[in-house]
This record gives sequence, structure tokens and C-alpha cells, in this order.
Amino acid sequence: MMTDQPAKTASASAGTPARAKSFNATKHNGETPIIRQSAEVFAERAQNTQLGETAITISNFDARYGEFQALKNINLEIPEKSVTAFIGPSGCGKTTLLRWINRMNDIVPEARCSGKLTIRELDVLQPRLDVVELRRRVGIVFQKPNPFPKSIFENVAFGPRLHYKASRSELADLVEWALRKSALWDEVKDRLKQSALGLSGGQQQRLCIARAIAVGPEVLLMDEPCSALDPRSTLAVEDLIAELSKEYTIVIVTHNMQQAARASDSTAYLYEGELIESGPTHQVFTNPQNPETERYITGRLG
Amino acid sequence: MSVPLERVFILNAERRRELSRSAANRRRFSVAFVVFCSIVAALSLIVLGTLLYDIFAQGTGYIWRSSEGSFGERVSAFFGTWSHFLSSPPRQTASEAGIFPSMFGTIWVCAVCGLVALPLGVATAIYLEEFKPKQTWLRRVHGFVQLNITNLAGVPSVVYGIIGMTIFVSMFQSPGSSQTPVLEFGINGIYDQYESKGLRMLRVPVDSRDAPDTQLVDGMTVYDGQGKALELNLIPVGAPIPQDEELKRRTLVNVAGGPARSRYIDEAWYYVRIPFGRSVLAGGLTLMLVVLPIVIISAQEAIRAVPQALREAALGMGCTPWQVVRKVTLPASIPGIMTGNILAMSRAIGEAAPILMIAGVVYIKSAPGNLMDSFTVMPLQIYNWASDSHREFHDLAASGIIVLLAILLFFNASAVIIRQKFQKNLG
Amino acid sequence: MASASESLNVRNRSLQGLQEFWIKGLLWLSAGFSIAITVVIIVILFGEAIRFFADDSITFAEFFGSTKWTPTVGTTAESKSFGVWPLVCGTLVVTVIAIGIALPLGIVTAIFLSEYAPRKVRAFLKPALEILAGVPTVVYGFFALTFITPQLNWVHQLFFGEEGFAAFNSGAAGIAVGILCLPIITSLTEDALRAVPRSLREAAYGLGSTRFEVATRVVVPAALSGIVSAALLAIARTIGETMIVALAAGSTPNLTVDPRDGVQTMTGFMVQIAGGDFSNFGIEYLSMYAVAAVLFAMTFGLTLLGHRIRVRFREAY
Ligand SMILES: Nc1ncnc2c1ncn2[C@@H]1O[C@H](COP(=O)(O)OP(=O)(O)OP(=O)(O)O)[C@@H](O)[C@H]1O
Ligand SMILES: [Mg+2]
Repeated sequence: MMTDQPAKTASASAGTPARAKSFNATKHNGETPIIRQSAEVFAERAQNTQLGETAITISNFDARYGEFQALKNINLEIPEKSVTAFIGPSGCGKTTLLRWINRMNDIVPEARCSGKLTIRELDVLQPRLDVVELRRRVGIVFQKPNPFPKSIFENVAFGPRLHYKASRSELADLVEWALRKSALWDEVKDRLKQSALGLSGGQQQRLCIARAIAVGPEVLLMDEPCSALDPRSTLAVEDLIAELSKEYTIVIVTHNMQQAARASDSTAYLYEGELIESGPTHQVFTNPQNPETERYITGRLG
Repeated sequence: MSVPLERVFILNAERRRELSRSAANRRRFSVAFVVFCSIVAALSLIVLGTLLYDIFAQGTGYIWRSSEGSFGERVSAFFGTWSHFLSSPPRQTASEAGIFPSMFGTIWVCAVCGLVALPLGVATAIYLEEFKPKQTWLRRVHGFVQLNITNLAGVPSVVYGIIGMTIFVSMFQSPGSSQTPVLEFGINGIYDQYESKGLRMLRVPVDSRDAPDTQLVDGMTVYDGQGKALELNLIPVGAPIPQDEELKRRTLVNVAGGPARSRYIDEAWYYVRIPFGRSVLAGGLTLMLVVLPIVIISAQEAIRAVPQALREAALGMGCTPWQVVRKVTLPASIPGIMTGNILAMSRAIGEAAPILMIAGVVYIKSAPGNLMDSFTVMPLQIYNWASDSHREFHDLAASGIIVLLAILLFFNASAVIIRQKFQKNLG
Repeated sequence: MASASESLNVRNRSLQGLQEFWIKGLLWLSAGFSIAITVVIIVILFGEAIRFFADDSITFAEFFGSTKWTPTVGTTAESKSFGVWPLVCGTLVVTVIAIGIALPLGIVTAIFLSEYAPRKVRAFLKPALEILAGVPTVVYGFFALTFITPQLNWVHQLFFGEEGFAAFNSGAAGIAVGILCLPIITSLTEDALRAVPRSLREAAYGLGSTRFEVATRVVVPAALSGIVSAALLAIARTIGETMIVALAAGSTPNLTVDPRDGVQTMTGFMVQIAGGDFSNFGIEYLSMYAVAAVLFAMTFGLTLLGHRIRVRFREAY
């Protein structure tokens, strides 16, 4: 798959600094996305990972849809300002867990949960919680890009308009910042007034990311953000994730083992609603404690 | 050239706090909005409740109040009045009036309407859904027909009323009228008709509609309403009227210029004439124009719901397009088509405006006997009563509405049942 | 043997082909019938309207310029006046009242049904709206006459100390037509709202929108064309509504916007002429066709526009 990238692209990016906590803002101008060979990145990451404090704590967490128990007794700690990947076979409950972190499942009538889920000191599951404020602090990006049928500008400005009484010029600055941050600015700066539905799938997904970060979240949840994208856009989004993880706590669901290995600092493996294994990515991938995990990972990696 | 980070207020905690909207206020507003929405939604329930209550109170209240005696007697009187209402013709006095002729008028008109509109509509729907042409220009014609049907569905029914009046009632103002038809077929006989002293109809056959008056002769053969031959007893003015009932029945007084006479046409049940005049046939056909687009559109939806895979399977087995329709599409979509048809017919039952134009405001004393009879339908009878200035007639109108709603309820309930059966079959 | 069966086969084929041909022809004829209806409507309405305008005493300028509508006054064409505005005005007053009631209520009810209503409430409310939509219009007319007008008078008495609504008035008729339109607007709007993909709602919730904000900033704008088309179709329906106005709005052509006064609408006039005993050949009879042509043109345009918008909006998703 992506292991055999054309040599040209690999060498074009060979000079860029390795991804590390300390690296400086990389110039993104859209035309030359930084594409690195995954094996190389994998090696780098193993050396550079230093996980921060815990941002999200999940303990004894159960979730159900009506009678069906989707998650059983999950205990997990998600470190701050890093990328955490949820992996596991289809239907194992990754999306469910992700959606409980910002209570998106409140709008699913039959969804219920129990246990404890805290973001720093905030008890996410308390019934009287202000979910509006929670979701402002915990943004989410969905599997399929879902821009509003509005202009590109309005899409990004949507969240800020909800939460802040910002002036037009402040909004414009914010939109530019968010679009630059999500590596989309150069592609869309001349057509901010045009409909977002006219963008390509990859651009739409990056727009959704821009839209999510424009409200200033602390945590960013991403449910298979690359599943609808081609390899090129995928790498652009992965780069973006790497860039964002300097400031945000990022949780990403993925089916792509290489992506998990490349783009995450820690990994949690779920199977049939249970958390089988979690830990630093290099550890889970190179030295899995549970044979189940190993079988899944190696099965995928071939 | 990127934005200086200090200008991005999201990154500036203080500025952010300044600009921030109160989440609590937003939430409160949202809750208030949801409550507001549910109240407004409840309004339609309230309106429906008020409407039904008002009509039931008005339509049954006066009957209940007018019945007397013990509770049991009142109940039986109550039902007695209802059955009288259902079986009597409309009268000048409200307490004796009933809805019988208009009920039968509705049945006749809707039968005509259904017999034409349903096959025609379903056939059109089949053509539009199953015989989509491939050539570009034919496809354009197809699209035009489709657009045309959606537009026809939006034409006000009163406009169809005018069209029906022009085409069917007066037949483009053709010279004839219902009394002097241009063409007619199915006449059993033409009679001069007299009312005897015993209050019986006496009839003497004549040759044609415009034949000269019959010269009555004492002792000639006449016929009564049942067609029984009698011997006429013609007595001069001033002569004593016989006491014998049998004789009185066939007695006419020979006043100057002959006894009061009317021309009676004995029409067969299959009697037709041109122009149709303000007749059942004209009404039914006009109503057909109103419901045809509805039938077509609902049948199209039902046919469209049949999975394409079924058709392809049949075509793959070598079926001709019509065989696909007959063996696959129609059987699969017939419940949906039926549901749509029933709903279209219930629309026809309730439709009054075009019928008002066709039938006019007339008092109809009996149920129609053939397609050329004048008629009225329930909604029209209700309209007549409701527009009467006497309040008692408003009560009658309410009673009529109860009957009408009951019939519609029956129709719609059967549509719902068919629909539900159908949905189960699919599942 | 083989050749015989082959020829039989061929005969069957051709027979079958013939049958297909006939059936297709019949189906084609039925479809053509609907075209014929349209043609006949246009020919009759506009043909008779032309005959009306061909009359020496009638001018286009009078019809569309004068504000006096007295077609049944006197016996000569000179004593009658044919200025269509009082009828159009009557229709518009009723329409404005009806749509003014039905559109906001219908949209809000549709928002409730598609966004907020628990399944049980929905299962209750939907059939109620369907029943409301299936009630014959003559029933609404009766309701307007015998219930709404007295209630309006009661309210009027409360505020002004006297009854102000005439026995026939455009206010009650407008309210009743509004009730009639409510289920139409609600169901068309609800369809439009439900067609908005769930993913857009999730996106809005994910950004921290309240339920109110999701509905008003995302769902309603995304469904706007559907709502506009619902409004247009409802307006067309209102303009063509007959029995309610015939019963409750009166039959005096009035150039007034006061909802307390009686008015005559275009449809009301048509019913009066056709149902009454005016001569079938008089000029007032022909004027009915001219009014019908105006009515037809209005509703035809509205329906066409409404469907255009609806179809385009369907393609957007
Ligand atoms: N709304 C729902 N109602 C009922 N059951 C649900 C619902 N959503 C998910 N489930 C069930 O919960 C389980 C977990 O679903 P979830 O979407 O979390 O899986 P996932 O790990 O994200 O799978 P995938 O990789 O395919 O996206 C599945 O068995 C699914 O069938
Ligand atoms: Mg998932």
C-alpha cells in the first residue's frame, strides 16, 4: 500500500525535520505536502515519544444501545497533547467510545452508558453537564466529510459564531488561521465565498478539521478521518494531525494499522467491546502484551 | 503571510472570555424554543379536537335534546332520528329532512368517477414508469407529460368544475338541453301524467316528447305508476267526487283546457342523452378530472417502490416489457396502488366545488335512477344546509358532516390497513 | 416437425408483439389523455375569455384597471362593471391570512416533528395531521361559519366592546383555509427537513450547537428551498380554495383588506355564477371564464415554480 511510495516523493521530503515534540512550524503550502515513508516515521516515533500528563480518564466504562452492550468495562487513560489511536475490528465499539467522550451519543435516543469518564477534572457523564460547553472544548471530526451547504467561510465561522460575539474582522482572522492550520488556506483563499460542497473530498475533510479547531477546543476527536480520502490527502491529514498534536489532545479512530503506527503516540486496541491492550504505540506495535493484539496487528500488516 | 497569532482571539484567553456568549443562556433559549415548538405542534391537535367536538356537539346535540322520556326511550328515539335522517330526502322542515338522496348521489358519482379515473390513472402511471423511452426527443415528451401531470394536480378543483360544465353539461353549448336532447337512447315510454282525485299518478302514453296534449276521454285506458291498466273516470266540473276509494283513484275532473298535465319520460336504467345536462354522468366525469392526477401520482409512487432488481430478473428471463408489468410490477405494487386509489376516492367523496358547478343548488328528492338523472352529493347537501339562513339547518349540516366523516374514516382506515399489510409483506 | 414448431414459435412471437403493440398503444393513449385535459382546459378558459373580451362593452383596461365588480347588476352590459380587482383582492386577503397562519405554524410543527418529537408523540401527531388534511373543505367552511366567526366576534367584543365581524367575513374564511393548509405545509416541510442528512446535524451538535441552533442555523437553511416550494404549493392551494370561501367569506365583491368584512373571491364568484340561475349565454357567464383564466394562470405559475424548486432541491443531496 503506502509502504512503496515513489522514491521521488520520499526523497523530496527527506530533508524535512523528523516529527518530534520540538519541531518548528513546518511551512504548509499545499503543493508540496510533506510525505514521509512510514517505516522511517515509525522508527522516529519510537525514539521521540514522551507522553504527557493524562487528559482523559476512562474507568469502568460500559456503553449500550438499548439491550446491546457495545462497550464493557473500559479502563483507559489518554495522554495530553498527543495522538491516541483506537484500533480494532469493525463493530468493536471504537466510534461508540469516541462519541461518548464529547457526549455525541446524547442525540442517539437508545444510547446509555455507565462508569466514569473525566477530562482533567471535568466529569463528562454527569447528567447536569453543559454539553454545549463540553463540545466546544472537545471537537469532533467525522468519518465522512460533512461540510454544511454554506460557503467555505461560513463553515469555518459557524462554530465561533455560536460561541462568541466576534466582529467580522476578528472572524476573518480566525477563519484564516484555522484554514492555514488545517493546510487548506492556499487552496481556498480565493474562493472563501463559494460553497463548501464544491471542494474535493480531501479538502472537505480538512475543512471539517478547520471548522472543528476554529472554536478553540482542547481535545479533538477524529473518527476515521481518512477513510474517504486518497493516499495523498490521507498523508496531508496525517501531517496535519501531527502538527495539531502539539497543542491539542487528539484521539483518532483508524482501521489502517500503518496510519496508527505512523501518526499516533499511543494506541488502544478494542475487541468486541472490550479494551484488550493500550500503551505507547511503539510498544503496542513492536511488543504487544496480548496475543490477541498481535494477531490483529500482524494480520493487518501482513 | 499568515495572520499574526495575537489577532486570533481564540488563542487569547482574555479576549475569548470577553467575547464569549453565555452557554447557559443559549441552553435556556433552546429549551424555551423546544417547548414553544411542542406547544405549536399541539395546536393542530387542539384544532382537530375543537373541530370534531364542535361538529359532534352540533350534529348530535339537537337530536338528543329533542328526544324525550326516560333514558332508554331517549336513546332509542336518538337512534330513530338518526335512521330517519339517513333514509329520508331533504325537506323544507328541518326536523323531517334527511340525507338519503345525496348519499346515493355520492355513490353514483363516485362510481362513475372511479370506473374511469382508476383504470385510466393506473394505465398512465404504468406507461410513465415502465415504458420510459430511450430516444432523446421521446424522453422529452415523457418529461413533459410528467410535468403536465404535476401541474394538473395543482389546478383548483373549481376550474375542473368549469371545464366539466362546458364539456359535459352543456357540451360546448350544443343546441339541445336536458329537456330537448339532441340525441337520446334508452327511453321506455313517454307519457302525459295526471294526478287523480285519489292522489294517484295516471299516465297516458304519447308518441314523442313534443307530441300534442292527449285528448282525455271517459273510459279510456290509462296506466298507474306501477304500469297497471285502469279505466279512466272523467267527470265534469262540479260533479260530485266519488267516495269509493278504488273509483276515486282513477277519477279526473275535466276542467276547462283539461286537467293539470305534465310530461313524464320513463327512462331505462341505461338511459343516455346528449347533452348530459346536470347529470350524474357529467358530475362523475368532472370528478374524474379532479382525481385523475392524484391517482396517477400515487400509482407512480407505488410502482416506483418496486425494486429494480425484480424487473431486471424478469427481463433477464426473456419477458417482454408488458409481461414484466403484468407478472412482476403490478402484483408487487398492487397494495400501494390500491391505497392510493382509495385515498383518491376519499378525496372524490369530499369534493364539493366542482359538483356545485355541475349540479347547481337544487333540491333533489330521490336517489338517481340512471346516469342522466339530476343529483346531489353529500358535501353539496351539507353546503346547502350550511348556507341556509335558518339555524336548524346548520344542525342538519353538522349531522350530514358526521355521516360524511364516518364514510371517509372507513375509507382511510381501509387504506391504512392495506398499507400496513403491505409493509409487513415487504419486511 | 422441427420446422413446424419453429414456425409456430414465430407466430407466437408476432402475436405477442402485436399484443405488446396494442397494450403499449392503449397505455400511451391514457398518458396522452392527461395532455388532452391540459389542452382542453387552456382552450376553453382562454377561448371563452377571448369571447368575453371580444364583447364591445368589455375592455382589457376595464377588466384589469377598474375596481368595480358588478356583473350581476342590471340587465344590459352597460349597467354591469367588470373590474376584477375586488375579486383578486378578496382572494389575496384570504390567502394572506391563511398563509400568515399556516406558514409559521406549519414550519414550527414540522421542525418539532422532524427534530424534537419523541417517537410516541410523532406516532400520535402525524395521523392527526393526516386526518386534518383529509377533512373535506366544506367541513372547514361550516366550521368557519358556525364556530370561527362567533369566536372572532367574542374576541372582538372583549377588546372593542362590540361585535365587529360580519356574518360572512374574510377573517374566519382565512383562518379556516389556514387550518386546511397547515397539514400541507407541515408535511411538505417535514419531508424537506428530514431530507437534510443526519451528518449535518451531527456536525452542528459536534461544534457545540444547542437544539435550537441546529434547527435554525443548519437544518432549516439547508431545507430552505423545500420550505419555499411548500409555501408556494400552499399558496396555490389557497388561491383555488372554493367551498370555505363560498360558505364563510360571503358574496359581495369588496375592495377591502379589513378581515371583518365580507369579500368575494375569484372562486366564490365562479361558484355563484355556475351554481346560480344566470343565463348560460350572458356576458356575466362569460366573465366567469375570464376570472377562471386568471385563477388558472396564477395557480399554474405557482405550482410550476414550486415543483421546479422542489426538484432542484432534491438534486442537491
Ligand atoms: N445507533 C445504534 N443503535 C444500535 N446499535 C448500535 C448503534 N450504533 C452502533 N451500534 C452497535 O454498536 C457496536 C459498536 O459500534 P461502533 O460504531 O462503535 O463500531 P466501530 O468500532 O466504530 O465500527 P467501525 O469500525 O465499523 O466503524 C456495533 O455492534 C454496532 O452494531
Ligand atoms: Mg466507527
